[in-house]
This record gives sequence, C-alpha cells and structure tokens, in this order.
Amino acid sequence: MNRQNNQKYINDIDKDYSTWKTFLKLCPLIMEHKLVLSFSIILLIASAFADTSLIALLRPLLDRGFSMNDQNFLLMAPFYIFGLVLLRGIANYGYSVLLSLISGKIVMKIRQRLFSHFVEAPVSYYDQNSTGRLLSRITYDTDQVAASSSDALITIIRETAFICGLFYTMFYNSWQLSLSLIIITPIVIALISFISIRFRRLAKNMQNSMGNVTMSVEQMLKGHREIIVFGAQEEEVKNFEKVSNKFRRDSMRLVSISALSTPIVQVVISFAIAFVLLTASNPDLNITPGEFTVVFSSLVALMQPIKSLTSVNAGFQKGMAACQTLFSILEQPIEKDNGSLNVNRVKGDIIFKNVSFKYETRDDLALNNISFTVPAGKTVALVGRSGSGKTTIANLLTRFYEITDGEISIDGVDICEYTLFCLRNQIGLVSQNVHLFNDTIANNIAYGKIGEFSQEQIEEAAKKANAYDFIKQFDKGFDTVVGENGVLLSGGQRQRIAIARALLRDNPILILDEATSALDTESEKTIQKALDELQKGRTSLVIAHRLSTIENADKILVIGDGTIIEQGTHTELLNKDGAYTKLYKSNFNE
Amino acid sequence: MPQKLNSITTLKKLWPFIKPFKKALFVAVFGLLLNAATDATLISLTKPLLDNGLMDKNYSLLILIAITIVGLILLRGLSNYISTYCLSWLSGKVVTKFRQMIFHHLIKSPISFHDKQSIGDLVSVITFNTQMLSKASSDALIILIREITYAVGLCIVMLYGSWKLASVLIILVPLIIFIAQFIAKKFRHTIASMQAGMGQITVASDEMLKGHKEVLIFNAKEYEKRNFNIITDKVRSGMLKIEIVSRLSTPLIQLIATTGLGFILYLVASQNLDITPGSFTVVFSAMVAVMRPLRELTSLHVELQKGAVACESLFELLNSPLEHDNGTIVVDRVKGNIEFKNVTYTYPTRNTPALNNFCLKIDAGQTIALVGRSGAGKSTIASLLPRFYDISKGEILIDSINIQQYTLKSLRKQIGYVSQNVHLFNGTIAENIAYGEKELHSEDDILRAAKQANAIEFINKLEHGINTEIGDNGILLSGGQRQRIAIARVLLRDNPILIFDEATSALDNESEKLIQKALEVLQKNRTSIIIAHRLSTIEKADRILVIDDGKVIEDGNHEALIKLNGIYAQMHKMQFNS
Repeated sequence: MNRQNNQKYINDIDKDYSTWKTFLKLCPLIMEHKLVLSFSIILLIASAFADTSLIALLRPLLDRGFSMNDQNFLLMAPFYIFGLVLLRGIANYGYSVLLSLISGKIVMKIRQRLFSHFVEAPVSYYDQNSTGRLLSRITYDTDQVAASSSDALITIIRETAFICGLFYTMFYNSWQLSLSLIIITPIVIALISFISIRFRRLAKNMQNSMGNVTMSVEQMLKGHREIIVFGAQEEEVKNFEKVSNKFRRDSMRLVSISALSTPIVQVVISFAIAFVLLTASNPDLNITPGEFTVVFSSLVALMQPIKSLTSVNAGFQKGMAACQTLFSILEQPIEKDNGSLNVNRVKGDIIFKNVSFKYETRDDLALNNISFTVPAGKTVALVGRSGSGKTTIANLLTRFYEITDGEISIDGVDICEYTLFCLRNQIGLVSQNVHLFNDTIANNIAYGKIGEFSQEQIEEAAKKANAYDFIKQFDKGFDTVVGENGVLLSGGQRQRIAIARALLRDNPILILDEATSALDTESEKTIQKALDELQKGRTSLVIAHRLSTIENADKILVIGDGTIIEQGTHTELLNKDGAYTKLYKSNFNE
Repeated sequence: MPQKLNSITTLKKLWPFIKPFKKALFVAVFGLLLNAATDATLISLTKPLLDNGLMDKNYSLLILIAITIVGLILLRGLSNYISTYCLSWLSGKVVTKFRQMIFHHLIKSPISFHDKQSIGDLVSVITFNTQMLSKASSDALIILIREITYAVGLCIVMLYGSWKLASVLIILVPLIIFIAQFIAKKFRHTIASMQAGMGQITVASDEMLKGHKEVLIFNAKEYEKRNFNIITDKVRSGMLKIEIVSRLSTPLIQLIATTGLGFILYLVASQNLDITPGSFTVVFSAMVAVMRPLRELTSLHVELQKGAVACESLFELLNSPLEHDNGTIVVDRVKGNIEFKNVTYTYPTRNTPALNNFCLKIDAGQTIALVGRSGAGKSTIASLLPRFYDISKGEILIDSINIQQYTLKSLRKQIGYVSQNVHLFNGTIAENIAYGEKELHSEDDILRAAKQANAIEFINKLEHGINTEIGDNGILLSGGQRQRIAIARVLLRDNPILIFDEATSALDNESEKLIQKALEVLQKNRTSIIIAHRLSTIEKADRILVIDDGKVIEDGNHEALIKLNGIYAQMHKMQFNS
C-alpha cells in the first residue's frame, strides 16, 4: 500500500519563507526574555574576550618573557592566565545555564501554543491530518527547535565575537602577515551560504519522512487486530521497511552535506596559514617570534570557531525548518468563534432553513436544501440509510462544521451568533463512537466540568444511565482509571458512561446519535426509560436504526441522499405507506 | 525502570546489530585516529617552526613546513569527512534495523500486551528513543576514539617538547578524570526522567488529539490546555535542573588544567630552566588544546548514560513476550467442528473470570448465535477462537485438534472475523477489501465481495469507485459504509469459520437485510458464530445460545426457545414490543 503518497490528506502549507524570516517570527518569543538574553550576550562576549586575550598573551610571553628574559613578567603571567581562565569559566557556565533556561521556556511555549492550536482547530482539520503526524509535530519537531535555539545563539555570538577578536589581534600584531585574511573571508562566506541552502531543503525532507514513520507505526498499532486476523504481517513489515529506509536515506543526504562544509573551510584556511609562513620567510620583514606566534596561533584558532559556525548553521537550519512548519500550522485557521451572544439556558427551538452542506474532502453534497423545525421540548427522530446525512445534521448543530448555505437557528438566533462555548453548553451529545479519557470513571463522567459536580450528582447520573452497578463492582469504583480510550471496559459499559456524561450536564438540547447501538436489548430498555425521562422538557434529536426507539417521537424525519423524503408522526407516516413504511416493515419481515 | 544501569554492559548488547557493518566501523575508527594524529602533529610543528624556522632564520624550512601544514589539514579534512560519514551511515543502519525489529516484534506481540500499552508511548519509543540512541552512541564513540587519542597525542607532543614541563600533567590528568566521574555520577538518574518526561508529553498530546470532538462538545478546551501547560512546565524545569548540574564540570576541569599551566610557567620563571620559545609554545599550545578533549571526555559519561537508557528501553520492548506460536500443524481448510472444553478465562486486567468452566460443541456447517447482556462473555468466546488471548484452563478444539497445535497463521486463515470496531487502513477501498492478500485476488473477485456486502452501490457513486482513497481509518466514510467494507473484506476470503461480533450494528435495517440474505447463502457449509443484539437477525440460526456470566443458560433454535418461555423469549418480547 502506497501510504506515503497519501499527500492529499496532509494539509501542510509549505510556504517558501527564508530561514531569516522564520527566525524573525521566533524573535517575539525570544524577546520575552530580553534581560536574561542581554546578560547572556555579555557573558558570551566576555568569554570570547578571555579566549582572545589568552592568545594575545603569547606575544609578550614569548618576546618579553623568553627572548628578553623578563623574570618578573614570567612570574606575573600565571596569575594573568588563571584570572582569564576563571573569567572564561564563569562566563561559560553563566551563559550556558541562562540560555538553557531561555530555550527551555521558548520550546515549552511553542509546544503549548501548538497544543492550544490543535485544541482550537476545526474538526475538518482532523479529517485531513492523522493524529500521528500532529503528534510528531508536538514532540519531534519542537525538539528540533530546542536543539537550534540556544546552541545557535551561543555559537553565533560567541564565535563571531571570538573571530572579531582574533582578527583584531592579528592585524594589531602584524598587518603584513594578516593580509591573507582579506581574501579568504569572502570565500568562506560564499561556501557557507551555498551549502546552507541545499541543507535546508534536505532538512525538510527528513522531517516529512519522520512524520511518515510515525504515521506508519501508529497505523500498525491501531489496526493490530486486523493485521493479525488478516495475516497481513508481511505486508505491514515490508511497508515499514520502505518508510524507515527512506528516512535513513534522507538523513544520510543531510549528513553528507554538513560533513563536507567543515573540511572545505579548513583547507581554505590552511592556504592562509601557508601564506603567513611564506610571508614570514621574507627576511626583509623583521618579525619577532612573538608577533609570528600570535598571528599563526590566531589563524589556527580561527578553525575552531569557523567549524562551529558551519556546523551550527546545519543545526540552525534544521531547527528553522522545523520552526517554519510549526509556524505555518499556527497560522492555519482555528474554529470560527465570532459570535458574542451568551445565554444561560436556551428554550430549545431549533430551525434548519434551506441548509446545504458539503464536506471539504468529498464532492457530493451531504445535505441538500434541508429545512425542518423542532419546537422546544419535542423529540425528533432521524431515520434513513447509513450515509444518508443524519450524523451530518448533528455535526452541523454543534458547529463541528460550518454550513455553506442556509441558516440554522436556536431560539430564533443564528447559531453562529452564539459563542461556541455557550452553544456547546446547550447541547448534550452521545454518539456511536465513544471516546473516553485515560482518567477515573468519575472524571470521565464529569469531563469538561471536573470539580463542578459533587460525587452524589455523578453517582446519580451513573444510576440513571444504568452504569452504577458495574462501576461499583470495580475495586476502586468511581475512582477506577479506565485505560487509554477506556480499553479496559466493554463496549456497552463505555457507552453507558458516555450516557451518564450527557445526563449529568442537563442540557436543554440533546443529540443521541446511535447512542444505544452497542447495548444489548435489556440495557437498552433500561436506558431508554431514563432517556425518555430525560427527554421530557428537552429538545431531542435522536438518530437510530432501531425503529422501536423512535416510534414515540413527536416527529420523524426520513432522510435519504441528503434530503428529507418524508416527515410526520409514526402513525401519519405509516398511513402514507411510503419510505417509512418500507423501513418499518423490513424490521419485522422474514 | 532498572535502578543501576551499567552503561557498558547495556551498550555491549548493541554489538550484534553493529557487527554486519563492521567494515564501516573500522573505517570510521581509522578516520578518527588519523584525525587525532594529524591534529597532534600540527601542534607539534610549532616547535621546529619557531626554533628552527624563525629563530635560526631557516627560511626554506618555513616553506617546507607551510606545504606540510596544507597537506596535514587536507588529510585532516578528509579523515574527518570519512569518519563522520561512516559513523552516520552506520548508526543510520543500526537505528533503522532497530526500528524495523521493534515494529516486527510489536506486530507479533499478543493482544494482551497491546491492551496495556499506550500507543503514544510506543510511537515515542520507536521514533524518539532510537534517535537518541543513535546520537548518543556515535557521540560516545567519537569521544572515546578521537578525543582520547588526541589527548594522548598531545601528551606525547608535550613530553617531546619538554619532559620537565609535561611531567606536571601526569599528576593532573588522573585528578581531572576523577572529578569528571564524580560529577557524572551526580546526575545519573536524570537522563531517564528526561525520557519519561517526553513520554508524558506524548501521551497527553495523543489523548487530546484522539478525543478532540469530546474536547469541543464538552467545552473542555481550557481544561486540556491547562493540563498540558502543567505537564510541559514540569518537563522543562526537570531538564533545566540537569543542565545546571552538568554544566559545572567543564569550567571546573579547565580551572584545574590552568592551575597546572600556571605552575609550569612559575617553574620556568623561578627555576630558570633553559627552555626554547619553541618548546614552550608547543607545551603551552598543547595544554590549551588538551582542554577540549578533556571537556569532551567528561560528557562521555553522559553520552554513554543517554545511550544506555535509550538502549535499555528498546531492549525491554524487544524482550517482551511474543504470541505463542508453538503449534506445527498446517491445514488447508478445516471442516469446522468447534469444541470448547471446560474453558475458564480471566482477562489479565480484570479480577473475575469472563468464562467459567465453559463448554460448547458446534458441528461443522452450523450457524449458532450468541445472545446475552453486554459483558456476559460473548465477545470473549469470539476472541478466544482465533487465539487473540490464550487460555490456560481447558481446551478449545477445531476438528478435534487443540487450536494451540495449529500454527497461528494456519489457524487464522480458517477464521473470518468481523467486529463492531472496524479498522481500515489508509489506502483504496480495493486495497482494504483485499487486505493482506492483494496478489491473490482479481478486481472481479473484489467487486463480487463488495456486492455481497451490499457495498457496491455506494462505491459506484464515488468518483474513483473501488480505487477511491478512504483516508485515515476510513474517516471519510460513514459508520455503515465502513462496516460493509469490513464485511466484504471477510467475504472475499472464503473462510470455513465465520465470526460476526455485532458486525452489522452500524447498519440500517435495509442494508442489514440484504447482507443477511447474502450471508445465508454463504453460511451453508460454513460454521458461523454470530453475536448480535438485534434478535431479528438471528432467528434463522441453527442454534441460539443465551450466555450469562460466562455460562450457557439456554440452548436451542428460535422456536424451541420461544416455547421454553425463558430469558430468550423475554428478550424477544422486549425487542418487538412497542
């Protein structure tokens, strides 16, 4: 299966920003720590100063100390040196800890923003992006940014300051020997920029490959039973081999470029060194050993900072590539929440007027010019073949998706005018796919309002949902942790908890989307009683296949192919002898 | 998590993985050695440069040295590139192999293992931990080979330059190494907690991503964000603590080294030793140069730790038990006689047995239906037959042979299993229907299966028909459509035993009726076990078993059970009573 090529569903907007632009976007986050940052920069420069001074010390050491045999100087020298190294040590420790602090905070901030964005993202975003991929953004990609921010800053500032110091030292001591610098500097800069452009593209490829690896692993873990049952182990293993090898190859390409940059630059410098030696070999220039040694050592010392600068550039590029992806995610739209109306409790009059809707990823209309009303407190049942549009109606009422045509209103107000928070507080939803969280049963029942309900209220809701008995059978009762997505519970038990969850909130509007599909007849009957009781005084939208569930509804809508085929009460529809009658009969027909 | 981690022993376990790439390793090591040697040689050149070249004004020597320097740096660059490339290649291969092995292992792990694991955690181990292992072990190797050789080379250069001065170092070096080890010991535990921290973030994110709709509808956005902020902050401050301690080692070591240097200078000054500028510069430069390898050596411990911890977590996974596949019997097609003999089974995560001394005999070709309250044991029966879980008490037999005696592959080929939780894969509808047996079926076969599952008419409405991509777990299809594809998937394979566990729960009555008709045809000459809540679907079964608390309460066909007026009769009345 060609899983890697499912690019259609990956909604990464890859705008072509330069590294610099991305870094500029990162700046506001960095600037929050202005003070600490400035202090760190001072320490970095101090460190570079210490290093430069140590080298510059060679000249007086050799010329005065040795050649002129100045004993006093030689005795003082150790103290100078010790002092400089102490300064260096303190500065190094200081800036590395401070910058760790800053980068840790920045990465944490980005992670939190990303998480927050994913929380606020519209449901359609999740239709188009696998959770595995999104997960690797939060974990792997932000980590890449961590690697780059403080290391990069340290190297760039410290090594640049060091290089400047060395340049100064060289020219100060002997300008003639230092001439070669003027030639090699532009050459080195050109080489570095050429390499970094190529590097960035490769870094992005590698990131995407990683996402594919994560996705493959996730798929395998989620579909494990299917793999076992259908004996597809070989196929899955082969597919993973392909995906993981691609990642390996992409990383190797990256390495070949980055490993190249350092040696090339160093060879260029070696020519400069050779030039210095040749110049020094000119007997006309009177070069003291001290001058020579300083210039020579400075040149040699240049190799290290340049090496650091080129290799940090690699890390920096990688980090910025990751950063850019993250920023482009953050720039994508979140759920539209432009409404400002806040109501305590709506009455519950629902009106759909000429509503049409199309899912982004499909071509056909899921709903075609649908209109119906549900007066407050009444129960409407939606029936029809699977895929006919019933769940879509529920999705639109909760504004999981935005409609393209028409209007949906509650109490005469367009639902877009309510704040999302307020709107969703009015609606209770129990669907066929129950998702529970890895937390206690009590916290799952009270999810979203943990702390706002008492233990009695929670237990009462559980009783009404016919879940109390089985919960009490667990060792820890309501404090039992349910495992990832409630894996430790049976299908029926999970659904009853989901029903308790909805019951607890006492919403004026209730949507039951196949809420009892996983239950046996007996449990369904008991809950039905509770649901019937609950539905009194509430506006309910019930979607079910079991006609016995919906016969008592105030109105029944027969949905087919995105339109309403018939509507009326059970008796009315039976008299019509149309689609509803056909469905009804087939429930009992042999 | 193991308390005392001996890094070396743990990393030794890596050797079998590295062995196939021995050659690359040797080339890399050779490159590193060469690199270190050229570096040391370059420094040693300072002495002849200053003493013979400059002081004695031997200019031709200077030119010779110039050429040598360029040559050495070229050599250095070359060796650096080769060693880096080889090491990266090697670690890339090892890590990829690890990833594939773990993947393979996880596929073969029993379902009980998967029930206990969080998917996010496992994903994190396969992606993050392997990455960390790769980085830590290659960094460790570089330090071990190159930096140690370099340090040794520099010592030789120093001794050669002036043995009197260099002898001071011999005292200093052990002292420095001792301090380095001491500091490394101080944060042995924190590396593991850093990984655990990342795992926490992964799990928290994963939960929210998967339960996103719930987050929206229950207005839990702020709650989730707050929770995440707390977790990430904890992880951040934990990592910072590591940094604060670990960074102390470098400056400490450098100060000690400097003291040595100062002492030398003092000696030179006070003792009036006869040292040439060249000798002095060499020793001085070598001493400054040796700071870097010494600093790297202190982080050697840390890298080894990181590597060992990552390694350990990976091996823990690899050592977890696989599905028991000790059977040897391979059969083409069983007849389909099933027998459960005194089977008692308790799920590892629960306290009470799901099946208690359960007995059942099914003849080949029979269709039996299991009904009962949810949690009564029906799905357990369905799960034990394909050996999703293994029983220890009692026996399950197919064609009079214990199912544990068949090979797993052979056993599962006999059973077609559809449950209410359908998982589809990212691919086309055709690929999903033919999942696992792509090459064995023609497109006609696939279309036929789709027709039997009553899926063909919605498939034909799609733009690319049977070749339409369905998205992550078929997210773009409705529940009923996914279920029909799952049914088609099984129908395609023509298994002698069929298990349908609420396989039609998401379907509307019409679809169900149509599939029912198709199934009735197929169920002839097949042993079928059907679990359903909708009693209308099972009335035609040869036998209906009412299960409660892991035991068979009633057994008979529809008419017999209605006459019995027991539990089944009650259930039937409830369902059809309005």
